[in-house]
Amino acid sequence: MTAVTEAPAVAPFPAPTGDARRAVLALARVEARRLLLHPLVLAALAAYLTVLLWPGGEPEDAYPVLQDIDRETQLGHVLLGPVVMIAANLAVLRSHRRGTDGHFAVLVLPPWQRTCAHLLSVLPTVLVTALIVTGQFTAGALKPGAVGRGSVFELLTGPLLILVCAVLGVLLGRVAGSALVAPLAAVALLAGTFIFAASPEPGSWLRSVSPVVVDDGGQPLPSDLLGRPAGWHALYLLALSVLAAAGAVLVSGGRTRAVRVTAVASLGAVVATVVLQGMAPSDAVREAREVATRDPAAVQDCERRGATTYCAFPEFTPWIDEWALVTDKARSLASGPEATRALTVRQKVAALDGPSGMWELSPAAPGELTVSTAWGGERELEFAASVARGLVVGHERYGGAHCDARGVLMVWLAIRATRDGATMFERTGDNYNSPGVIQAPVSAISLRGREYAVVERLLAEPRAEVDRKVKASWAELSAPGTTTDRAAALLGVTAPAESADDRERMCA
Amino acid sequence: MTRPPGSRPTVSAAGLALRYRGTRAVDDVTLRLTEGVTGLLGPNGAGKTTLLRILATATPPDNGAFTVLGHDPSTVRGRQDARGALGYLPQNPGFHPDFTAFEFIDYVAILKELTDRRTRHAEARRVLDAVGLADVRGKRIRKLSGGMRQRVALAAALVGDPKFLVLDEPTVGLDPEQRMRFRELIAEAGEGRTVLLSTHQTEDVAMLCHRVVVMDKGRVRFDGTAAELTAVADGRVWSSAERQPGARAGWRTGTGEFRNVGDPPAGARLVDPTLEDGYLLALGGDTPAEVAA
Repeated sequence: MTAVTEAPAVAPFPAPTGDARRAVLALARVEARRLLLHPLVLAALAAYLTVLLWPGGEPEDAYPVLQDIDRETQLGHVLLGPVVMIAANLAVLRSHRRGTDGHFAVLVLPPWQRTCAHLLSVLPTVLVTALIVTGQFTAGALKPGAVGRGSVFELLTGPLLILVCAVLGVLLGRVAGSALVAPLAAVALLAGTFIFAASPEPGSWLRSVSPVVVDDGGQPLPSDLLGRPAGWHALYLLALSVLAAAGAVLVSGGRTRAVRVTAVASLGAVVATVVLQGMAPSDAVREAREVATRDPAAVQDCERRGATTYCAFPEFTPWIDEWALVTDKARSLASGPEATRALTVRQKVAALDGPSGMWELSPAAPGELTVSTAWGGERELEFAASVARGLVVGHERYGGAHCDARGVLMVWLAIRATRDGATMFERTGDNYNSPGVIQAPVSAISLRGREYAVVERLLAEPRAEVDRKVKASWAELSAPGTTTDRAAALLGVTAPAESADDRERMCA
Repeated sequence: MTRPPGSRPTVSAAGLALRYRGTRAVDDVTLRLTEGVTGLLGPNGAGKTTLLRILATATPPDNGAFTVLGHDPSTVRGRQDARGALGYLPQNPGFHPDFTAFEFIDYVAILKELTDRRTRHAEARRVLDAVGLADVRGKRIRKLSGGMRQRVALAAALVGDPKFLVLDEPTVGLDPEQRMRFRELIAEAGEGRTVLLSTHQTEDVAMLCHRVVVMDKGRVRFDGTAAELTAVADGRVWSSAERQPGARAGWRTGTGEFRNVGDPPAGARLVDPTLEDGYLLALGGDTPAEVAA
């Protein structure tokens, strides 16, 4: 016979408090912990953080433009959201899947209040993603090269996306008793996001209903030119969450007046925010884009440093020091009147079509150089090429490949005026499918194979020695008509023979 | 120490009826339960589980009315109050395998609206202690044996010290030792509470219940004490060398003789009846032979 375990003496147990609200909060706490510690969520968060914290990155990352960085926080959430949706859905379906329905049905807390608890339980996960977003953005903002201004609404979009997904997971759990529905919905959400987000038409309602509004333009824009309906979109996501939450509570039997009113109000808010997103950008933003594109001088701050005047949109003026380093270095390698030629470096944007618009800039007037709204890494080499062209030929117009000494000279200057310029120059073939092309902000500086080979040979020589020869032969190297063979000879290397490809290239 | 069962009705039902898939699963059932353990016996499909689900407020009846500890479950408020006062162990209790025993009981306690964290945790520990699972309360349920899981389910039913306990075949699938352990737990639970125990095990009823209700085809066939149910078979159980044609049920016993239940022939060797004999006879003339085969 089994040994009998004597029941412990039991003090009279207090009756249930009947405080359903407190029970909802207690259940929400339990479910919140389980949701955050769900293996799927943990794995997704770990993967997300790993990507964020992975050492390395591009040199451009040292110069973040904060009005772009805020949007970059959203993309990871597009992948994280479906995972949270599935985990929240599994939590709601737990009782059904594990057969505790029959037992739990007679417990005091009504199903709709359990649904409320599940809805509340997603908030800590949303908060965690908000903290990650805050950390991600703050890390960018604290970089010495950071410029611009982030938007709170853009930063809220990622966490709100998690909220929408989690609440949809709860709703699906209450509408459909199968754990297969949420994964299917997650796939549909991902597919829909990429299809809708790919719609480039600003104001398109497809973009408005998409979880994130992607603007994948060529270069950053000043923040006041973005014209993104970030605030309306954040409100749209919030309204969608509230609508789905109200739907889940209604389906669970919580057909109170307050819930019905909330459902109707949030539906109205969803429709209104979709419409309002479609109305962006405002006339004021359009006008500002027009001015910034066609007459940037009207809105720029300028600063004179020696013979160079730098004009930038106000948010970008911290980069003037960086531009000046490149310009000064290029000038120091030059000689003659070109070394002190007066130049204006002007920042330009192509903002007429907003952040997703085509990025095409027209050449500046002679004596003016263009600098873009991106900096770091190859952008430095590109700007240095622009400065070199300004010093050597004095204008930005593209007339074809540089098939003479001036091409060799400009590229040499660009390489020497840029941190790690040689490495970046050698990578030009990877980036543009054509070695020897430096994509300067307005028009590329392009070398033929012959001139490229001369530059490569120069890079194999001691840099200081080549610099000295450049300075000594500056007048001849920078003169129109000096041949590549002559440049090579002046600089102490040989030039290869002209190839058939070289002969086919149009020369400037 | 056991207390004598109370006589004041705690659960009253009148004219309960529920159709399920075209049949009368529960048909005009009237009951008055008092403190102590009441056994509910009946063959498969007799309507026991349906009746238990109605009394546990899981399924509303089509007809009839009932009260649980004075609460009327036909109203929202009454149903909530009744649920706050009852504990239910369903026939096939599910579990959340990745919860520990403690977490599962704590979860149930929250759903019973025990909201103060310290009190709730103390209660979870109390009921796990009561069912002898104190040592494994931190173990995941997936790692517990079937008997332990069944005890977790009983602990869940005991959360909040309910005054009305509905137990639907709690000893099914348990080995004899575990069944014995469960009997002790149910006997303890019956002290100061109303326990309605549905079972196929007449031994459980004989050992535990101060009162027995026999159901068949949705109707109550017998309602009385265990002694009264046994008495139904007084003079209707006899032994013989061969199976008797007049026996409603008969089987060869370990002695080689047949034990017959039914209407004995003249001069039959009568033997003392058991509660099971009374149960078989209480089921009526159309008792399935396999019950005693």
